[in-house]
Amino acid sequence: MNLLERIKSILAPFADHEAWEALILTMLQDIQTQKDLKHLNVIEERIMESYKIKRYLYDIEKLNVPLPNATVGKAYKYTFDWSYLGFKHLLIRDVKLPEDWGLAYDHDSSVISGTPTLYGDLSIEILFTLPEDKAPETIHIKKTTIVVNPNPKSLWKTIDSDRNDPYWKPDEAILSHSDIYGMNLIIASKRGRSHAHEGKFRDDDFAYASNLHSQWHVIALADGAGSAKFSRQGSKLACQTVVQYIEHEASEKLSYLNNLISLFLQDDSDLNKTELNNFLYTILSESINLSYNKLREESSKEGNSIHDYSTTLLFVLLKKFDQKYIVISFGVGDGCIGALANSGEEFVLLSEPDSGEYAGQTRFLTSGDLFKDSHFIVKRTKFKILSNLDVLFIMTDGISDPKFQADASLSRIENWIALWKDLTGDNEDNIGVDLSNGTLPQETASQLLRWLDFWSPGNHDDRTMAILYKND
Amino acid sequence: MHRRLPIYFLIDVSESMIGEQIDQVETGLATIIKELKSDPYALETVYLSVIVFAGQPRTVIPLQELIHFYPPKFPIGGGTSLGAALGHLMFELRRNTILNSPERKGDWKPIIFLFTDGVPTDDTTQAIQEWKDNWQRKVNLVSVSFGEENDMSILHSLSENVLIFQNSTINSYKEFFKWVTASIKSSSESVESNGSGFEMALLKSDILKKHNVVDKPENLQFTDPNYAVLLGKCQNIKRPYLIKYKKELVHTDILGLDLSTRIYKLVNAYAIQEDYFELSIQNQNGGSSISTDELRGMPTCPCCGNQWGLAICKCGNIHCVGEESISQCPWCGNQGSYGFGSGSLDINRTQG
Repeated sequence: MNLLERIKSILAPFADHEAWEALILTMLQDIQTQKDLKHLNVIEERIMESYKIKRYLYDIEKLNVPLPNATVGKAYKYTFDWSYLGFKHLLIRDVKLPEDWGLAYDHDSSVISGTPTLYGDLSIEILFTLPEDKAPETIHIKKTTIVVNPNPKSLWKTIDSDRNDPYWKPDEAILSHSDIYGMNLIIASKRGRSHAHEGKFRDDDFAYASNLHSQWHVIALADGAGSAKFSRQGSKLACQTVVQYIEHEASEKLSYLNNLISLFLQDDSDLNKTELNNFLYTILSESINLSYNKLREESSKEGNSIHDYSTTLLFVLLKKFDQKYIVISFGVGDGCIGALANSGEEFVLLSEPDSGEYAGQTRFLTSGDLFKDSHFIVKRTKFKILSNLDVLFIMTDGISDPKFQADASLSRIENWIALWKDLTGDNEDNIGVDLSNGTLPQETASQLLRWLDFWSPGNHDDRTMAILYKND
Repeated sequence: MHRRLPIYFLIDVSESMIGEQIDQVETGLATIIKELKSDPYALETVYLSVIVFAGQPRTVIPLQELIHFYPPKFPIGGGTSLGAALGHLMFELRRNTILNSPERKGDWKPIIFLFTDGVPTDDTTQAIQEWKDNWQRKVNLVSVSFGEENDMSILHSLSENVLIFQNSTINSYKEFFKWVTASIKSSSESVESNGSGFEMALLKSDILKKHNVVDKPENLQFTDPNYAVLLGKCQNIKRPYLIKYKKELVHTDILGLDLSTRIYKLVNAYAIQEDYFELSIQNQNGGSSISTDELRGMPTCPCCGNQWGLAICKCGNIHCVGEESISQCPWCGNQGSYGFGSGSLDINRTQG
């Protein structure tokens, strides 16, 4: 029913309804009334428009504009897709951000880019205008944030270990020695990030010596168990005991060993082999047992359990016979020993990680199996005759974990070649160790120590590596 | 690739949370993230996910590395469907959890923080059974009761870690979130040193109290809810809002008898998003009603500023009214003019 009909129906009951109808019609048709009605319409439209604008602004204000996070020192680029974000029909004028953060906005491409130098919540302002705005130049602002993360590397603190501790040892150490059959030896050992972060000790250790009389060289590495209170001392004593035994006490035995080996090299009969094996076993078991006993003695003396000194132990005995290298290796626990020969064509794995009874467990020198298992030592020993030797690596799991990940990778030569490349500079930080004869071994050992600082998320254990390499 | 420690937040965003509570949770979560980001252990192992639930559950932040985490804005919805929320959580757990394999080390046991402030409004039996059968032993769940009217027996059926958050001091929320952060941090450290991977931080008894299964419930039946929340829509902006009232007992002396009457005092009105409806149960007819007699305080419209935020249309819905001569209900389109009515009306309150 339109207005006229409605009026008619309202007036109908009244006696003089026709007069009223005529009056009302005149009023309605009056130009001024028409004008006033139009005016009211216009006002109503304006109010609707202004609420429309209010609604846009209200929605924009409530809109969530999440931008991807950035990280200090990492290049950042984000392209605004305005309609996807919900700014469809608006006119974007600019995006403002503070200047000193290292990021900038380019209006033509709608891109924020740069490399952030500060971390925290970076406030940005999106400036826009509404086409419906009566004053079209009114600039509206929508605020949002870019979360800039700190560089994870910068979060690791370095706290010195307690100097006054009776078992204190330096947080890092190096050793170098030249002219071992024309090869150089460098060893570097560094406290891991997680120990540094908590002011704990370096639990790894190493030692080297040679027996001048018999011309045998011995290199030992050890990794103290993280959960053992005094494992830093355990690793130290384990290495030193083996090395000192070889250096000082084993001269006669080693000389005799030399005879047996010479015999065997001439004639590899079963008889010679058996004699050699047996005698070798005597030497090895003596050195390993001495090591174990040293730990038991120390624990006893201090009223501690031997397990407080739990440690792994890796060592290599090396001697050159005319043109052949004899390499004898032993390893209990994790970490590994590997040798490259023939200009990198050949690879020998001399020791691989040794797991405990249950998966994920590590076996230690102190685990006790040493006596329970009569094959304990034999299982963990290798005797190799190499016609040439390019480089020998010994490392604790602080290095083998990040560089090889799974145990299966250890037997693949390409991973060791990759390790060589990494060492000589092919890495994220471009830090190289000069394994040629251009640098003195002392300097190279320092370079190795620097290299040990490489970043590998999740791998923050102590790191120790020994490298015996040719001077060319 | 190293092992992840997945942390899930399962957060109740029913209407009673609107206002201070949800703001505190938002701020609290942002603070937790900030703290965790400065911990190198947490940065490498912690993966976070945020799931909210009201009438429906929704994953607001899918499981991701801490470094990518962007603090979310929490929506609000009607209802407290804990059963549906659990189902959704189990779906996410199934989807996300990485198990041990030769190529990859599997996840640590996920930790789940459940925050809820009220009694579930859906049937939780089936979900709880599935939880007990398949997930209870594979995760560490901590339930934190925010409200005073929670069904503790349901929380106990989920896990033995049931805590009551007591908003007793000015810094309560801050302290509570500090506790959550400390628990996550020590769990991620324990994971580094091959520990159990779940260490709840020390509970400060004035902020968080452990609730035991044998504790006697405060009342045998559920008390009247603490809050009455009404849904309205702005006439001008046409966006929804919630009006929150808090229960108070008023002592009146009638003929010498000291009686307490229950009234609801206005807290505030809050603008909400359209996703309120997505998060609410589809038909709200199960809601209880409240008499306008019990309400004290008239809110202004939080969207457009209209003076009267609680006007009831013929269709039974609430909208705002201003100085306009003819108002139009944004729900049903009906037009009319409003005066002040006398007597009281029963209006539908939301499920809570």
